Amino acid sequence: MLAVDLGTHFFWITSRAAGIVALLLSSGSVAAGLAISGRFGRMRGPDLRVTHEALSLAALAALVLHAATLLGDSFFHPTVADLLIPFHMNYKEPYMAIGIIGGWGMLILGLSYYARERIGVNRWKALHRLTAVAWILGVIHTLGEGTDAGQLWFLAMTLIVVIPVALLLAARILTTPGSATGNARRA
Amino acid sequence: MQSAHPAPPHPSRELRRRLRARARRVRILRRRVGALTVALLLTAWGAVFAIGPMGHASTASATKVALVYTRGHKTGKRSASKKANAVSSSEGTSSSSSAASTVSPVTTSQS
Repeated sequence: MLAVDLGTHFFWITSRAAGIVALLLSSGSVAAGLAISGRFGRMRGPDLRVTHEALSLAALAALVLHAATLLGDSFFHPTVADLLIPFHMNYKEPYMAIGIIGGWGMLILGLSYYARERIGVNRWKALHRLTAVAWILGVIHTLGEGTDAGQLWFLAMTLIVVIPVALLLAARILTTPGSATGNARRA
Repeated sequence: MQSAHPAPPHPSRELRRRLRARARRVRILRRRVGALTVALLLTAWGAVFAIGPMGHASTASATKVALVYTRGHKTGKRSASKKANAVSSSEGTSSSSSAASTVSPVTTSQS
């Protein structure tokens, strides 16, 4: 087994683990969100809503941990600006920037739920749909930049969580009345 | 005269009971998601620690890692280059010079 200097790698391992957890929880959250607005979620709407909210908050916490622990990595040594501003750190671009943009998207669109009365419920609903885009950016960041992305176990885990959510998302887009396919069907 | 059926509960009492049941369900769901998050984090940490590529360590312990490399342990080439890049971008040293410093003790021991 690889001899690992835990003191040196602790923050790096924690950041990677938090990134994995953020991906898993955000995928679950997006799936729950799609189920709420879809057909089969109506039966247990309130429970799904609570699960969706709890998963989202947990995913956001994991996301913050993913970024914050990188600050403690004595080897990678990023600044706060490197982790918050896209294209600030000239490292593995564009995947780093994609991850930062996706992270900000998740954070802002997720927390906007608590300001939906102020934003206006219909406007908030339209905005909230963009969370799926932020999730897709997160998946691209994971596969493009993730240290573990070349590992079989990691790829298998990612595909297992991403494919069902992607299918749900595709089904939702295709069955939305305003979508191109919806319009074509009506015509 | 007593009726055969018990009287229906008072509407406000019934509402309170339902609200209490709902609050309990919400608490349980939140607790489950919290427990799931902690369990996932620990599992992911363990997986990355045990089977994830570690690449190069810091320059202080780079010699130790170089020795591990020569003993035939597989590490991620991708992460090794990542760490080397990180050093060159953040500390202003070239990856080739850090690689040379890691390899040199190995060369000496082999010759």
